[in-house]
Amino acid sequence: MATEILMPALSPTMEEGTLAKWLVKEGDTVSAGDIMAEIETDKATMEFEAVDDGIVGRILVAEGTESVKVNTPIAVIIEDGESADEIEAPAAPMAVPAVEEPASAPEAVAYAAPVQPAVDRSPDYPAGTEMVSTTVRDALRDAIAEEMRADETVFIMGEEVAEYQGAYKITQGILEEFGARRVIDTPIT
Amino acid sequence: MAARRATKKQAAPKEELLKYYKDMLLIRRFEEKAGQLYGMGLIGGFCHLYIGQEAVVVGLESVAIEGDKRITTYRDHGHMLACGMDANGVMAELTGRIGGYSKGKGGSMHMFSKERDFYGGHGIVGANVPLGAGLAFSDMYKGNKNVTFTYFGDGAANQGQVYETYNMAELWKLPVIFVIENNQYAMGTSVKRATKSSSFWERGTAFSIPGEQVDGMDVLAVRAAGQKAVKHCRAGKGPYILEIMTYRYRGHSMSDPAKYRTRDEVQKIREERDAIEQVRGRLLDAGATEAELKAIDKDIKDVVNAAAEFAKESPEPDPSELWTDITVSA
Repeated sequence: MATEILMPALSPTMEEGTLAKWLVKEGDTVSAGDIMAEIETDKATMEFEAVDDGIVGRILVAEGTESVKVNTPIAVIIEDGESADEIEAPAAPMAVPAVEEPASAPEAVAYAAPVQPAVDRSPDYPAGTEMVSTTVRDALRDAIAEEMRADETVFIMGEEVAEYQGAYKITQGILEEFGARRVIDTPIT
Repeated sequence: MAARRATKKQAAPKEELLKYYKDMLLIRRFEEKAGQLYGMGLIGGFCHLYIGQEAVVVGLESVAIEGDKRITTYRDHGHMLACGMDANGVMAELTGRIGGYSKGKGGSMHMFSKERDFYGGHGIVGANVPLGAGLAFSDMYKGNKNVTFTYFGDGAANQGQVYETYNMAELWKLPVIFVIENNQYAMGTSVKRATKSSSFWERGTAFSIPGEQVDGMDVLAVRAAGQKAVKHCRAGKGPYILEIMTYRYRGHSMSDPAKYRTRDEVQKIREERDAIEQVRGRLLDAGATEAELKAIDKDIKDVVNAAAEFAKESPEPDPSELWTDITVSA
């Protein structure tokens, strides 16, 4: 039976990704555990493994394609004796199951309305400051790097801050710039 | 003090090998399916797969008796299946459904079963080790012959609380087996980069706890070491350390690109030392046929597919479940 291989979610936050590279081609035999493709997620480039044995019948998404939504069919695996010609046109991307609204709201629990403190929400940076769009992790990384450039005595140590580039990529590139004396991996415990 | 490597090649009758084969295969197929469901967005959050390490839990469960307890870290699906928890309930917990062991509120790392004496599933590295000693304390206190298998990894083995626990466990002669699943990587940090003394079982000698290093890719070697350990514990001689040398084939978690080791390193172990393949070879030598093994493969696949179906169809917990299971009723 032909099985569609769907674009996987390879991180908890991934909604779409880039099909960076196919490591198999049509007609190749794959076994469970073989690396089929490299997929770039929002966090990293991940290897995508075959989960079943079979033959790559058809590749539906070419390598280099960006913004491939999770659950889009990217290839079809066929079994021995099947012909790739029998594969029908790919179905529409499988819809992600919609989260159903609960039929009734949970029983209301009476709380005292929190008192809203008066907060001054006007910006605390000078008017006319040029703003840039960035992610939280890049902002943290840039701030760490800025301090390290400004002050020789600033260093960073922690679990997987150096060679792994930070478990959540906060310290990406920091080791490269500042070296192992100032960017120190500690044992994981 | 017992301190030798178990090197003698073990043997087992066909029926026994068949059980190990089934139990290990169930874990592997279950985990592959979990990885697949994760990829489809049906499982969210944390998910750490046990693929490659199956012989550790299957070997040790083969020496457990009714009433023995087990507690582990967050790479826990294999432990649950090996101790007899239901695949449907585990998979449904992964998908966050009411049919799961924690009614869909715990997820991958937080499942428990009093019926099977499985005490979790713990997300904090090393924190389950003192808890395991506590479970063993209850058996010591009650004066029964049960033991507690307390599993943790090579990363946790460098934690302070592990050594405080060793001290108390030996002091009070607690029936606890400390099982260090040394898969050689603490997240992305190899053992070699985390400690200068990488023989973890030997550290027990500082506390007078005996132990040994075991080939964790050979289920019969694990069983043999487990037999020794439970004998020691059940005789009231206190704790025992098993450092089980194993290997995980997948990344630390689902979002780990595993750049800290080469593809060749993983491939070499899969090809040369895979625990399931080893038992498969032994089975064929013992007279099992390919057809017989194929039928088992199919049965296991059916169990796992049924679990996946159950995990997709079981409803999400009702919002009112937010207010349950918070405190213990007196």
